Amino acid sequence: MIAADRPLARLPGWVLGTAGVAVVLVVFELAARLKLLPARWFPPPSEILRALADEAVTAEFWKTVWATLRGWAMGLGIAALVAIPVGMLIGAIPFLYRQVRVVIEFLRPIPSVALIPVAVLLFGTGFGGKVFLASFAATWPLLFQSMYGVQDVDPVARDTARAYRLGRVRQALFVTLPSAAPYIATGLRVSSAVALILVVTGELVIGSAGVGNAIAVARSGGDVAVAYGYIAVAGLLGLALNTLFKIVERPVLHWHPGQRR
Amino acid sequence: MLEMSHLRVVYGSGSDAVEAIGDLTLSVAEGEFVCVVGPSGCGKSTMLRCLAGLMSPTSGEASLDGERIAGPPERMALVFQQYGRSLFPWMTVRANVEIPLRAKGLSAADRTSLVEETVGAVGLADSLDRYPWQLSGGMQQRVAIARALAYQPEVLMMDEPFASVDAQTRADLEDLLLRIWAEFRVTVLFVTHDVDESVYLGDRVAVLSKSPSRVSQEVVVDLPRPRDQLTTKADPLFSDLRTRVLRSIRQEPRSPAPLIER
Amino acid sequence: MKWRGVLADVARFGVFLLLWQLAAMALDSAFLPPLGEVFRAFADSFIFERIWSDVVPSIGRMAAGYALAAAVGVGAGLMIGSNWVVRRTTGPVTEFLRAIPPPALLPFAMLVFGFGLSMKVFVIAIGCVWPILLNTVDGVRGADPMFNEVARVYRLDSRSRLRRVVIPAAAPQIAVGLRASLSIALILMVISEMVASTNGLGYFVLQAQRTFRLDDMWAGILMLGIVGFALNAVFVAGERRVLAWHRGMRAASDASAEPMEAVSA
Repeated sequence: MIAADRPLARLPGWVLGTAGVAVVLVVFELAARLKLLPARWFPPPSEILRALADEAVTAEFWKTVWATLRGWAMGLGIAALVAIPVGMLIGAIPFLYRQVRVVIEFLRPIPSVALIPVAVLLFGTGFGGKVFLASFAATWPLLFQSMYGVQDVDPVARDTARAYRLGRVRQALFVTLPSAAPYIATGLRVSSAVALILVVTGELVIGSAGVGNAIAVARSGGDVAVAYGYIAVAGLLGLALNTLFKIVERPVLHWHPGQRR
Repeated sequence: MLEMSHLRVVYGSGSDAVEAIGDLTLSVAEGEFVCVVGPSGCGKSTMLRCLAGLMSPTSGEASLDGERIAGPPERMALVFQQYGRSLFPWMTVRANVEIPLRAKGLSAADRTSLVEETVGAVGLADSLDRYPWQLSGGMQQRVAIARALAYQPEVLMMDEPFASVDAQTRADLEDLLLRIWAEFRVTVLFVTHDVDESVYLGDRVAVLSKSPSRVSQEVVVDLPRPRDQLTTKADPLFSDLRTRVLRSIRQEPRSPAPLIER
Repeated sequence: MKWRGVLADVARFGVFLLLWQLAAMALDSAFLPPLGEVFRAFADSFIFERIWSDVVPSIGRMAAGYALAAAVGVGAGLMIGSNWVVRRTTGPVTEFLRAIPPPALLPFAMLVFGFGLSMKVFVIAIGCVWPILLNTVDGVRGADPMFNEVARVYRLDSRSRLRRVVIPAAAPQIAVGLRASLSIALILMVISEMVASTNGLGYFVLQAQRTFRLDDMWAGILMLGIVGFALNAVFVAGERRVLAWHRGMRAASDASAEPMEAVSA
């Protein structure tokens, strides 16, 4: 209703977005070709695409992408295995929560990347180092979301379960878990992004194989277009993983009001 | 002073089109208190939005003093039904009433005296520095009325302003409004779905039909003023007029089952 | 009552330190130095020798990048949020840009800006800008349309509409974005100093590890934790002041929506 009389509103939703992407690409292409931007630093997008296409046919490229994805998956997986049960336990037992609250509040503000040196010491510069970083960083959002999720069970739902004399196990299974699920899902999505960031960081700073490392190598080798190509790959990975989580969340949480927006 | 002639509003287009207002002609004279009453969903709010210049009608026109209304006119103020949402929660009562005056470019001294006068007139002088959410619903709506008065409009339009407060508060607010109307000498166009309220307040009641709406009848209310909740409502003339308005809504041919919330 | 809670927390923290100390003694590993050494290293380094040479420059870089991100993010967010054509057009581009893990832009920044201050400020700013921008857009879009109608009826001009209606209405959501960006700024400050710097906390920590001064390394990590904690505390305190109306309003609506809760609690 807001803009029903304006012609742009009648276009299908994707048209303007595509136009936006096209404009950005064309402007950069022209700016680079016309030497408005220093060519050393800003190759035209078409050249980046070509460099990326050349890379994409090599086995090395896919190995690199796989190394990053595997690091992400292991980092997130370890974090989920640790943080979800621990978080739910802490959230469910007030006594436990009181005992560990201080320690958690103390550890949380330490930026995960501060542990890069520790990761190198403990796991070396290989695969283990970046997985350690990713899982450490991904633990926090999941831990807190699981804690809040369990604590935020609707008291009416809990009383209803009690009134119908559901046992402890059933209560956990049919009341607590579904109530906490949306929180955990959000935690997973946030942690997924965090894990990817830390994996790329690890590759960049420690130098373990993967997309982050490929960017750094291409840059120091003077291969600017390839470096940009890999940055774009990192962005596409982030986009793909985020979309994946949103798609998976929807059918699982279809009953939750937040999904209906 | 305020005129609507053959106002027509259609939402959407093609097969989805909904005709909210069919053909609306109504005029309000200077200083008059006119109530518009009709069933819910009859396009009352749409009519007000056209008059306030928040939307333009599909055809026909609304005018103020012979001038076509294209955007929000300077000499008009509107009080919304949803008092909880029409006051800015980040501003105190004082700032809420003052903000339109800043837009008008009044000096600080003028603003302060106007704010204090109007907020005092609605009986909230003590609450100038409180926030809206610290006040009850009735008090919030009084702030909204004070804001409209401080704006010094010639026409005050009200969109079911008392529909979401409790009955006692509502009676108080009705009397407050009548007092203010007499004191500030404004023209009032008051939209409501409450037949008693419309007869109690107005000089004239215009009955709207179900949408697509038009004016199905106009009833002149010649009850003496000042009016009073007890004596006026006990007046046989009051129940007479009330019955006439009710009947005209019920005889409305398009709606065999009257949808009056009463 | 409150003091007993604080005391109990202090005691619990003591237990945590004790466990650390016991673990360090039991492992007897160079990787996990005893607490005493970490504290001594912390005192040697940060009281006050390295405050000026490392801590202040780090915080300065962070503040500059963060401020830049806040200005650009809020500014662009207000524009994008209030115009649906701009919003739809820029949608996919911003989705993609914010999906890039910010550290991946570090090589790009080093290419264009070299190794100096502007590189670090750029990296911090570009990492922080997305949460601020997207939350500002959400804040503007999620604001009650009634506010805008009131502003129109009372003929507020576009400047005061922006300043007194649009921005305050979006402010709670903007604060969410600003807060999320705070920890990102800290992370990017550390990484950029690890990769290309000759001072700063990130540089200090990594250098300590490379030269095997592990007590210094842990002291640096401790310092980073303290910086993170302090920044968050300052932010929360500021938010409480600026958005006092929002907390008050929420408390008021909770109380009226659930009177039973208020009584039983």
